[in-house]
Amino acid sequence: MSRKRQAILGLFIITGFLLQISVVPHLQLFGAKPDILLVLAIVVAIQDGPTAGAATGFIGGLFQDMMSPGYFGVSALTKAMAAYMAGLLKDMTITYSVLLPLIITFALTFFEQTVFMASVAILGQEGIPPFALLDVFISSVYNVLIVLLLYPLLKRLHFETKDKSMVLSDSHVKQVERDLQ
Amino acid sequence: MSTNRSSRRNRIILIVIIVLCVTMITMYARESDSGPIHKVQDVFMDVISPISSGFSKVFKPIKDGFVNVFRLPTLARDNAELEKKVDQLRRENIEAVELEKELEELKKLLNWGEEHPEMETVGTDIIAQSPDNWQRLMVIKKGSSSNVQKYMAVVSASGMVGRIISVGTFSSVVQLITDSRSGVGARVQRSRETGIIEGMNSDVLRLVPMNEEADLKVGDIIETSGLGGTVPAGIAIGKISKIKKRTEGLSELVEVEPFVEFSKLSDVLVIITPEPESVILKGTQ
Repeated sequence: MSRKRQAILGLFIITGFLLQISVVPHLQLFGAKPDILLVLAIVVAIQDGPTAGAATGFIGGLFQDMMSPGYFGVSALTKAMAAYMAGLLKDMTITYSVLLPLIITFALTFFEQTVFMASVAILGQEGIPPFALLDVFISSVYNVLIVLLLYPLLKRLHFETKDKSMVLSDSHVKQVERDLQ
Repeated sequence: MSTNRSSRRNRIILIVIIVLCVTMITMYARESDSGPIHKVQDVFMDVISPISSGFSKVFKPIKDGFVNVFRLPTLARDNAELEKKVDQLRRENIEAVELEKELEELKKLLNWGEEHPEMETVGTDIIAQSPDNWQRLMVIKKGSSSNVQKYMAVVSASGMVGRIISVGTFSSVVQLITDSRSGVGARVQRSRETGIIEGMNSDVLRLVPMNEEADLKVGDIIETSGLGGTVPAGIAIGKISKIKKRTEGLSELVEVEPFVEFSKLSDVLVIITPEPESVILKGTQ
């Protein structure tokens, strides 16, 4: 990943975090809200690979943990794991269908929320909220809507910030053509 | 070959992240409120507060647009004004009933000299809310520099909002009464039955009465009881919206609709005095 893309992702993480704490709470539907940072991590994992996704999820989760007294480190862990799995799923799937990011986002939001609750339960946190399946479902659908906006945006930036070393020059192309002949 | 090396590198990075997270979780669980991670959290909140506040103002039109998506701007404004008036009338009504009850009690005790203690408050904006689905928290723009301390009650014009659970220098975290970890001593204004108001991570609260045969009716107003020592008595919480009878051996489920509309909350008051008993006790130690 190029430095420029890393910087852009850093900006996306900070903006996503600020939106998550200031604007997103007002977009609740039936008590559930989207998770911009999770969607960002999943999109990065699909486009840049599992490690980049896990790192994005870890940093984004850590930001969220800073604002959550009681569960420090849990969001960082669950988001990193979900993003890593998104990257692996993408690598294992041979398809260019536009549905893939949507399905992965839906499934891994469900996974992330479940693991989050399980981790909190294992930690013995008092007054654990009841695991609301409807909330998780609405959150997952919400995240799918976010991915529709975020995926094309980051994909576009992905090409614009691609390493020049990765792009074949004209002389390379000619060399390959000669070799093929 | 290089694919194998790359996948091994990926696995190592994932393991490092997991180990790092588990270490942080363990350290956080073991340390006290004044531990290093808690301090980092407080500093982070102080740093992020002004940025979040500015961000919130910039995106206010989007927030308002979403809330009023199906309403015309004039209707939204009229509605807000009417709601404010209803809140005021309801508060006045509750205060009047409360005064009447208090008067009766005072008459019985023949103690006309007793005065209702004045509450000193500090007003503040809400600058952020809980980022996840599993907690009902909000961050306010006042901290220890404004004499805010842990366990202090937070109220709005409509009633009880929550309690302070973490204090930074210039910001604090409020646990809302709707948070599933919240429990506040409460009583029924009409019958004076006491109980505990618990959050359920939803828009309604649950009243757990102390007495299984408690005299409760739909529409009864619930207020804080002052028991427990952290929240002053007589602050309106909500009204009973549903009483579900349970089978034998189980207590009834009493749902309470809070007066405060948490999604529209923007300004709150922190009750500085009377101080929560836990703060006073801590100070004397």
